Amino acid sequence: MNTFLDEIKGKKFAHGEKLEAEALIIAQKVLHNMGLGMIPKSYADFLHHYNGMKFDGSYLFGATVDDDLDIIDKNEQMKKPENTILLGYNDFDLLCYDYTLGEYLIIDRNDFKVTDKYGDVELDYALSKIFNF
Amino acid sequence: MSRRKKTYAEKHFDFLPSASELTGRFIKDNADLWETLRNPIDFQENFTNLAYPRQIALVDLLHDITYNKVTISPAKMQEKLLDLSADCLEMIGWMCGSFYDAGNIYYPLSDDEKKLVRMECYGSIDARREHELSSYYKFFCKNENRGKFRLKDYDLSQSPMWRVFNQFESFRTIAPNVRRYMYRNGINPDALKVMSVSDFCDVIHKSFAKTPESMKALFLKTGYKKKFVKSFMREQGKTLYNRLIANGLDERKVVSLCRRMAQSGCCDIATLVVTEINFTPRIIKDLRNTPYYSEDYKVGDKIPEELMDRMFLADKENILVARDENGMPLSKDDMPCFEVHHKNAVKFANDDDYLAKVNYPTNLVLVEHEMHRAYFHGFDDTDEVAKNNEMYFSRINMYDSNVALLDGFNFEISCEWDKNSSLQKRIKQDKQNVVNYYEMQLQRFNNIPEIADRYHIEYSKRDLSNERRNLIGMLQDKINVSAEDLQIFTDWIVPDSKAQKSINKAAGKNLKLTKKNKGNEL
Repeated sequence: MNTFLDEIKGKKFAHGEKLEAEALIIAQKVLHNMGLGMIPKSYADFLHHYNGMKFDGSYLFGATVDDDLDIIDKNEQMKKPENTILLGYNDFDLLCYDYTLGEYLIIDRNDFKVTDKYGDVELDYALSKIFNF
Repeated sequence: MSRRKKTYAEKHFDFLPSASELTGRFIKDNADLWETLRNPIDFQENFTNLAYPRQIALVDLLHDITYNKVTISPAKMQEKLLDLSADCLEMIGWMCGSFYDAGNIYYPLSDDEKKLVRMECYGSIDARREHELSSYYKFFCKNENRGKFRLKDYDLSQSPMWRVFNQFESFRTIAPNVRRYMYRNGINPDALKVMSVSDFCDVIHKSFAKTPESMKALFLKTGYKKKFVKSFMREQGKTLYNRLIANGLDERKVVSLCRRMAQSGCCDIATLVVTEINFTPRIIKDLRNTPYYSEDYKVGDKIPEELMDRMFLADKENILVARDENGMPLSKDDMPCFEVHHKNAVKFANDDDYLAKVNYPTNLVLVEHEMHRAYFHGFDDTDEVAKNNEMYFSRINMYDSNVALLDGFNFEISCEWDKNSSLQKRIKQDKQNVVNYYEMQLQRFNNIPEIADRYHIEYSKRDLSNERRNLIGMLQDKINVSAEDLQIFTDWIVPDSKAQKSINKAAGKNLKLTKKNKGNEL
């Protein structure tokens, strides 16, 4: 199976500025102060490639000054289930990380029901599910 | 420390508003909002006169007052403010054809139904993981269990779960691809009777994926979300153009946005390339060394559509980029960023009606990104009720099916969708193919023993028990199956006393079945 990065090669989308170590630390600190868990390592690794992405109603957040993609702003502004960090969304679903279970969750924006779960090593599936071209 | 890092740090440490500052927002920076709020009689007029970003700020403020319960003293003032903000929100809703629907009980759709709605909307399908496929389908996919069959043996109407797909126009159009894939791969047609929604997703993914390794496959040339935008532009593209020009937007930006929306159904601003409308000396100069150049091109002439198309296809659109007087690409900060929004939530659309209508153009509307976030999804809330699968649900819904675009709170563009013949045809066909998901699931379960016995497929007790538990839960929530079917089903799964008890309770304890009924089915 391809990776998400293989899949988006050559596609046009907007993304945040290059991730810098301090920005990631700030994001982790603020999220922690908000009572949330840490950004999972697999997602942080992804942010080194693209520090947040957006295209036509699909969003993946990062530690970026872009207001649409800022993981801190979005975790403050948007409703999400408990014990989760919000990592992105599209027209229908949220992408969250449940830091108590260590799983990525696809959650229906309307009823907050989990429709799919992915382990840490299955992040590519979760990203592909949320980000549509 | 680099400048960029400092900016992110500043954003979240130096300028983070404290709780006390939050209270101060009513009088400090938001005097205009406060003036608008404190004048309930002229609220509509004052709100309309606010610039669009301030309207969004006011909606955010009203949201905070009403739902985040921003504390204001004295308490009496808080009460008054709560009443006032609720009235103002109602007025804003009325202005843009929407209303706040709260406190009603709804049943969420099944996960399978949700996935079909998303697939049709985007026209794409994700690869399934091995464990998402049913053991029966996996059995028939094994090389040793494949065979040679006739194409006509693949009768999709025999498949309960394909009938769930068949409710949607998009899946009806690809039914031949599904049959062909199964025929070419020698998958036994009996598999159709026991295949799950995920199994069919696997077939569709493999039929359309560019390579077997692809994570996503496009099974429609254009998903219904993009189709909606294109249809809107065909119907009302000129009206949108006029509106954006009247708003003072640079014509080059307007033309580029409208062109993109009409051609690709995409409204994304971040990736939009704003191009010149007419040839400039710079463009002529840059074109001269390319295969796209023609002696006929003159400064000031309109750039032909055909040339634009060719250059976009070849990824050479940067040559045509519109620039300001300093030679810099035009800023896109003042451009509206439209997003497609579902007027009514997916489950509402199905509640008293049928599933396929959720992606109808009548249920879609283009709204500006900030309005989408702050208003249309700003009031979403959900709360699970203790019993069964019921939920309280709050959401902003819209009641006018013809509104197709909202540019701010007080400007809308409508399309006469009811005069659209292809939509009318689609509605007619969709209505003929409506099924109840839970009934189809029940039929599939009833087919499993017969197929498993015939092909000596081992039952996985754990899978069966999980599926049984899921289905019992769903049946409890929506008893749309007949009492007899329910009883036959419960007999077949050899119910334990607890499951039997809960099913009987859910079915209203009206199960009067004869022994004949029980014996006939299994």
